[in-house]
Amino acid sequence: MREVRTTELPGPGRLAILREPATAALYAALLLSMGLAIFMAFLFAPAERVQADVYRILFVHVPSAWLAFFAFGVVALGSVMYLIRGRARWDRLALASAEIGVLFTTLCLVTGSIWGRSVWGVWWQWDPRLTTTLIMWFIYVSYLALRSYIDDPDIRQRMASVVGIVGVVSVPIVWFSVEWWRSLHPTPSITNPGGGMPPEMLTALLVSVAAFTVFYVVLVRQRMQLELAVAELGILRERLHERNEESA
Amino acid sequence: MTGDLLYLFIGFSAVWLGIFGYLVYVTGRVRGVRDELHDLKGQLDAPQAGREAPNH
Amino acid sequence: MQTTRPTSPAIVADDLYVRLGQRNVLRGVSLALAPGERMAIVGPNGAGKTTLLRALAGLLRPRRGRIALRGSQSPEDPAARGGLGFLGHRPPLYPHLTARENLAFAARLQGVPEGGERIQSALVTVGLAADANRLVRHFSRGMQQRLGLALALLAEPEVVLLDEPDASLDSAGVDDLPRMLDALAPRAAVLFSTHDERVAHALGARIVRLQAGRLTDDPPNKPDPVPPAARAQTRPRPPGFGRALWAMIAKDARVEWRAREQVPTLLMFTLLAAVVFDMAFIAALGSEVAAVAVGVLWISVLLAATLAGTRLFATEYERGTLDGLLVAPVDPSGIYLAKFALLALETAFVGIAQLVFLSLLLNVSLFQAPTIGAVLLAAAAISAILALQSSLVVSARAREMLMPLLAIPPAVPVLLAGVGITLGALQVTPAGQQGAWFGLLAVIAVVFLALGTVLYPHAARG
Repeated sequence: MREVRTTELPGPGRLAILREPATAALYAALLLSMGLAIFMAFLFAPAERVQADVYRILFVHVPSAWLAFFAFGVVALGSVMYLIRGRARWDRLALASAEIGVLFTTLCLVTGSIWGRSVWGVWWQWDPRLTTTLIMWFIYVSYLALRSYIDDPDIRQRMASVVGIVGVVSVPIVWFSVEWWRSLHPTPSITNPGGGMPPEMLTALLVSVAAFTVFYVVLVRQRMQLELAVAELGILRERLHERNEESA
Repeated sequence: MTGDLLYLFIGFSAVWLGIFGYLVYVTGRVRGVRDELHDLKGQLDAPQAGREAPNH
Repeated sequence: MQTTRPTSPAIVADDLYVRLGQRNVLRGVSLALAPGERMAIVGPNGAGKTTLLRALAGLLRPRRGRIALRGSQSPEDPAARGGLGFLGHRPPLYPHLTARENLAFAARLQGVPEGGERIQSALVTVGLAADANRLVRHFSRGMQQRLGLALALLAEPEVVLLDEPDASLDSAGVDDLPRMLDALAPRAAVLFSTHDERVAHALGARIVRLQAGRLTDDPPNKPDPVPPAARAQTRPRPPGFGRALWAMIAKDARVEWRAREQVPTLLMFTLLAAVVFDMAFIAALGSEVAAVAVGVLWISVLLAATLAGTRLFATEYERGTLDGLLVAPVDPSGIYLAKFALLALETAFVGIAQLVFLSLLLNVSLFQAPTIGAVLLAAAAISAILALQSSLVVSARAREMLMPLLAIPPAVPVLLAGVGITLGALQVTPAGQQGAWFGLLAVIAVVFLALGTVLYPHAARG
């Protein structure tokens, strides 16, 4: 019983979580940065010469893509650390990040598809970056599927960690796909100086990326807390069961 | 032009709905699981007084 | 060769906690056995006897606590398992090998000389000399248990862990147990579980009781000192990595040759795929026949590999032989590499067969050097990926559903490279990029082989 730790449970009440100062600060940062990002996306950044206003979808499309990459990198980190250290906390980080990475990959594919419809006239193109992104999406969906198919927590965590490490191979493939194959996607214009993006646009994009990153942190924290609570629930149930067994 | 703005609107809505929907879903589940935790802790603490002879 | 200090115990468990699922099955178990000592664990069903023995054998990782075998070595260290004999509640036997072949395979993994007397004397001791050349699948449950004992004791282990050794033995067999142990592992520390205390008395074992994951009557933690004469013993040296790998591949090939579980079915699957895909693309068979042939070739290679890959580790897992491999003094990455080799052979075979089928059915000249090369290299690349995935799904529910989902996405680049090379060879697309595609296949094969070799040992132990 010594090994069981439990979280500090906030008291009842709808907004109880906001009483933790770190959480409150995080939510404040989220609101501020999101407000700023929306303002810059619509009012600060100038309209584009060819695409007029529809290009502004870039301000959600690119941050989604960036966060998908980042999240899957965190999955690999959490998985490696879990296999080395064996602490369930690392696995919770990997799981939370994988789920959120899949969410952002989905959003990236959806916004890309909508953008493509308005610019290219089709919902889908067999473009290298689209194709590789779709495969990356499948890989992390299968990571989540594997987790849901294994009942024993320790085995689940170890098997998932292996997939979490192997899966990250897809990230550089998606990233470099535009350089390796001819693509409709532009080559990176942020890392590539003189990439032709007006400075206001670039600033708005960077603010947007920052705001989404704060959102990622909020989501990961919340998802990890959920996983911790679920694990504790299992431990408590087992403890109750053990006690009933012993007293019987 | 209005067609383009429609796509823009759909794109942004999809993203915000997706992210906020997920946040609301997770937060709701955290709350549910924590309520259940409270219940179980109550159960675990309550009958302890009634039982005789702790097993250590 | 093994030199332990005379006072060091053969088995030590110190404050062991093991969790299975959410259940704490072992809750602070400590025990120690001196060399030559015998100890029986008794306890009701679900007390944790099997879990304790599996943890000591290194098949389960404790959450807390320490295990030391033969002095100070952890069972996760392959060298420590060199002196370990383990029999779980299911003997790790290959039903399509004979009793002698099963023992010979174990001997190769343990480094016991194969041609030596040891296998014969083990067979005689357990009373199976007359059945040595019969296939194990014709054995009764009791005969399998006897053979399992012979396997566990084959390398004259210093540490013997037996889970209900008397299970499914007839009364003569139970009466024979002390003689078998005395003959095959006279100096070993033996820890075993049983429901029958008479067996414990017959074996001269100290009895400890396990109840709800705790030992109830605490056994003395300090084993008695051992007479020095008892330690004069030379151990067979575990085989090198290459020899163990080769032994496993040869075993799989022999099992497949006898059982014919995979290859004929895969062959029929391949032919069937050629027929149904060709029918599905019937409208393109006139003008685009080369493109159709290429597509059918690579889809059937990928699907056949997925089909075979699902069974790769699952068969060993279901038979209980995976435990036998994991307990052997072999680096577990060798198990991954052996399974990779088996799958690569099967996949290459399917691919080559499909080249022939499609050339005949569609009158396309697929049978060319670059195409054959692409099939061979792609078989290696796909198998490197799938062998690892196969090891991950063994303990998953509905693994047949999960495997394609897990295996196909990372294999897509292999498919693309294969298609690229073959289209070039058939001059559907201009040749010239083939070098790059071959390079991609080689890179995938190498990267995933490296990942599998490093990661499989983490996935292997429960």
